[in-house]
Amino acid sequence: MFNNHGLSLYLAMVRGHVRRLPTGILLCSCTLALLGVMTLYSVAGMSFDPWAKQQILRFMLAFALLLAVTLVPLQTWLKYAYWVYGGMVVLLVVVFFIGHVGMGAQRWINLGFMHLQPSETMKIGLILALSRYFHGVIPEERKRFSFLMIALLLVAIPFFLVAEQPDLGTAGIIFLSSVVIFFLSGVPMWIFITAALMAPLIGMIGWRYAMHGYQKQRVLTFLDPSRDPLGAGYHITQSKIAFGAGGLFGQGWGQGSQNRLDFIPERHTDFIFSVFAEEFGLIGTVFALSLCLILVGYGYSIALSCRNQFGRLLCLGITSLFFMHVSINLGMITGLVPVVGVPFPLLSYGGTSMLTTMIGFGLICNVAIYRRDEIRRATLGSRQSFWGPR
Amino acid sequence: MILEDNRYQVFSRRAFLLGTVKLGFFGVLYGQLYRLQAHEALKYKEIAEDNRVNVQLLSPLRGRIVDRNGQILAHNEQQYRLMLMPEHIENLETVIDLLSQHFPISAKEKKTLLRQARRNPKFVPLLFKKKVSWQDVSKAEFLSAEISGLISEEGMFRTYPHGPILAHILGYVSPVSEAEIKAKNNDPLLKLPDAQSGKLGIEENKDMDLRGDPGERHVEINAAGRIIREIKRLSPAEGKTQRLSIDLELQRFAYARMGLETGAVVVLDVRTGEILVQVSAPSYDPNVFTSGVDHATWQQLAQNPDKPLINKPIAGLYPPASTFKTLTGLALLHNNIVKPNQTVFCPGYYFFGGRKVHCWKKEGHGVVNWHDAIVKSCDVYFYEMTRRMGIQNLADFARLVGLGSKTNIELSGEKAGIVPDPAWKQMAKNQVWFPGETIIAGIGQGYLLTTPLQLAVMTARLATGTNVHPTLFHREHPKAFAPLGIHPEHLKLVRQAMSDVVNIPGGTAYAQRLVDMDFAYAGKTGTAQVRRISMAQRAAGIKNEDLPRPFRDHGMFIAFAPVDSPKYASAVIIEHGSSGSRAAAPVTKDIFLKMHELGYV
Repeated sequence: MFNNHGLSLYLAMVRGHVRRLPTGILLCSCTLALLGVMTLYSVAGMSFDPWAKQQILRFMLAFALLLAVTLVPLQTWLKYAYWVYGGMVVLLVVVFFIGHVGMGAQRWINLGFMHLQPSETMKIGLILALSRYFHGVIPEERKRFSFLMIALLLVAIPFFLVAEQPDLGTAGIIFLSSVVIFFLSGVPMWIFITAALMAPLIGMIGWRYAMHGYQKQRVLTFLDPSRDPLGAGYHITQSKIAFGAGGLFGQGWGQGSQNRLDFIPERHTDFIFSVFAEEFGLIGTVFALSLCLILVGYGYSIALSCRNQFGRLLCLGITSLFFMHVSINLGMITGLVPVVGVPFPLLSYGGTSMLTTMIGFGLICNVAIYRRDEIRRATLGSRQSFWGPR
Repeated sequence: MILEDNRYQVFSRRAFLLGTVKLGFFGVLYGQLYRLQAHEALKYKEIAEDNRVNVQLLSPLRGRIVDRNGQILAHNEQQYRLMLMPEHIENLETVIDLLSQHFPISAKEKKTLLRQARRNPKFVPLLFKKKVSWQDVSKAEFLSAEISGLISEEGMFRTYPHGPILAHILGYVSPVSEAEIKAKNNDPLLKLPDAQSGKLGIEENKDMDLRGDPGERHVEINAAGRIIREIKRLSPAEGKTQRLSIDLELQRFAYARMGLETGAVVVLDVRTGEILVQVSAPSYDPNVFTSGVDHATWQQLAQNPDKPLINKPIAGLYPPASTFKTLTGLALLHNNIVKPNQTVFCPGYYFFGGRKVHCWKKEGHGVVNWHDAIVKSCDVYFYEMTRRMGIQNLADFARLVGLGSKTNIELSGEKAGIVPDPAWKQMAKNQVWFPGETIIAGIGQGYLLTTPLQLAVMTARLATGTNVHPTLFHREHPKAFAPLGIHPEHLKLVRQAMSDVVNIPGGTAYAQRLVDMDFAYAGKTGTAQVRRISMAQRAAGIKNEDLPRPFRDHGMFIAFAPVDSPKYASAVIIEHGSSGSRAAAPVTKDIFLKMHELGYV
């Protein structure tokens, strides 16, 4: 494809990219993934099988994807943002129908080496689409009802497809990350305030008509854990015990009794951080949480130094997504928020979550590389105001 | 570019707001980590340890009960039992139904099993059937291929190798009831799956000593409650062996000698109070009670007119009848009412208050003194002399030798009996005392009621003049009993009279004397009326032996041996045996012969 000259030009460009890559993000994510692999090794009774080995392979794949994502120019991501979004919606529709055929809530597509959960990848697709949509926004448009309605439609399609699965946690995260992008792109404050005031009403309607029995149960259990001491409440209690039993320095790798004796539920997925906390103590948890804080910090510093709105929104959208995963998961397993099935990014066993997180970091790196590019917006009222620059 | 600036301004302002919120959340998360892992860590560490370690009690072996020579009377035998593991069983009821085709169980047992299964955690095994044979074990092994959760295991079961011979002394053990657990302050030992507690007898009396101390097994368990490994084990301590005063050989002989007769036999050592023999007939097999007696067997035992469930030596109440004359006689001397040579003429009847009262001998004894009155058991002599002595003197003396109050033997269910006097009658019946009741009391009839053990103790006290207290336990270092304060001369006279009852012609038990032996025994016969013989029957010459069995008199005999230096005292009651001399005295004689054979006398 390339002649020699073209190839050397391309390699020079790649070298430039590599120089501008924020290595801190790579380092932090690799460290988090390593902690995850160590914990999975311990959960399996000090064995690479069945989880740690898989997780290493997936991380390697995900890391390669991260690098690949950085190699695609930001402008190209902008160009194909809606296509990515559309593709994800199609996948969601596919699992929606597979699930119905299978008489249950099927949330994944079997790819052979892993199960792809479109609801996870949808988050990235939606953030890309919303970032592009708001990229060219001008103050007048932000107030226009029809303008906001299209954005809301972009959110509503995946939200309801995911909520129907039913996966309330993911739907909530999809909703919240959209709110973040709406907020950052300057949608007037009063809209948020009105929405916040209306939230209890919407919540009541949702409670009455939309929520499944087990979802109601989870909320009730959160409000009063003694309702269900052997169910979700029991899990949270055991998870908190694991945290406490870890103490300052932890029980040691592979030594946590709450872990070894199966007291912690879902140890390799949602509750993996409880195992980590028991075995590595406060020292370990503060270290891991600080890695997350550093990653969030990188996101902010890159976004604030980015010269185009698409990059800024994309970067903070993904940063917020990562932050929400961390805080909801950690809040849940330490008993601060209700039990919602949200994995801890990079630690929890799960291919899609791993891929999504790393692709997300890849996009942040991409923004970091292209942050000096100024991407023009199209003129108001033209067809390009929606489709962006060609 | 104005637009770009505006957008950047809005963005950065709002990003700052959002970042602050995020920092706040991070702060909350750090705070929660600190709270759980530093501030409350100790609390959670303890809970985690509690989670991890389960302390299980190990049942101690129940202490053995042995006789005075160390022969085993109650011990624990290894037997096999079938257990069900609820955690491996999907539908317990179906499994039980399936099993009951091979090992029949009652509907009630099934209900109990299902109730236990509901009450206990899944990993606590259920006892399906105990005491199964080897064939059943192998059948169960075969079935367990199809039925998961069925296992056979060996366990220890309380066994009474001598069955009915010692039933009333030993009592039995049986599974603990809910009420019992509550009553005993939730003693954890009682909650063990095969916990048993002593019911009746020594098993009940020494339950705490026999039970032993439980061991502990600390095990690491996982979240499902399954045992992962054993951390530490403290072996249980076996219960203390109880050495009784009973002589198994002699007890067995006495029980066999009773044959089909019903009643009671008590033999005790007058020097130590140790009870060598205590037979209650008929008896039952305590082994059927250990696994919970079935309804039919229980009904049969409870409704038997011969009352096998009553421990007759301590809970059977009988009028002492003529055996009481020894006591009345001594009371006459003790209270200085008569001189031994004072006589009464017995024409065979006695007029009192315008009514004619009969002596047992229709033709009368003629002139009788104190000694002859006891030897020949003359009623008329005692009617007259008791009248002179008065009821209060008699009652006080009867209490001195142990009647009218419990002997405090180490068994439950003991009766105190009745020694009547005016105060008692006022209390119990709210009636005044009639003089006629005094003279009846003098020959051991009327309101007087004693247990066979009381009669044996009375005999021991007459034989020694000391305050003998009975016990069922072997006394390593017996203490001498305190004297009762009865004049030795009087005691000597009554012993001589009792000796003559057996050993000189004319004595009521002369036929049962020992011939060609190097020792002799002394005694006193008694015949307790069950139903008064009517005038019409008396006129028709109907004898007591001719009546239907339930109406025949009780035969009783008290004795001590050897005559010159008493060592053992006995009391024998043969219910409906018609006469003391013909029913009870031969049993006593044979027991003394057996004791001679065993080297006691």
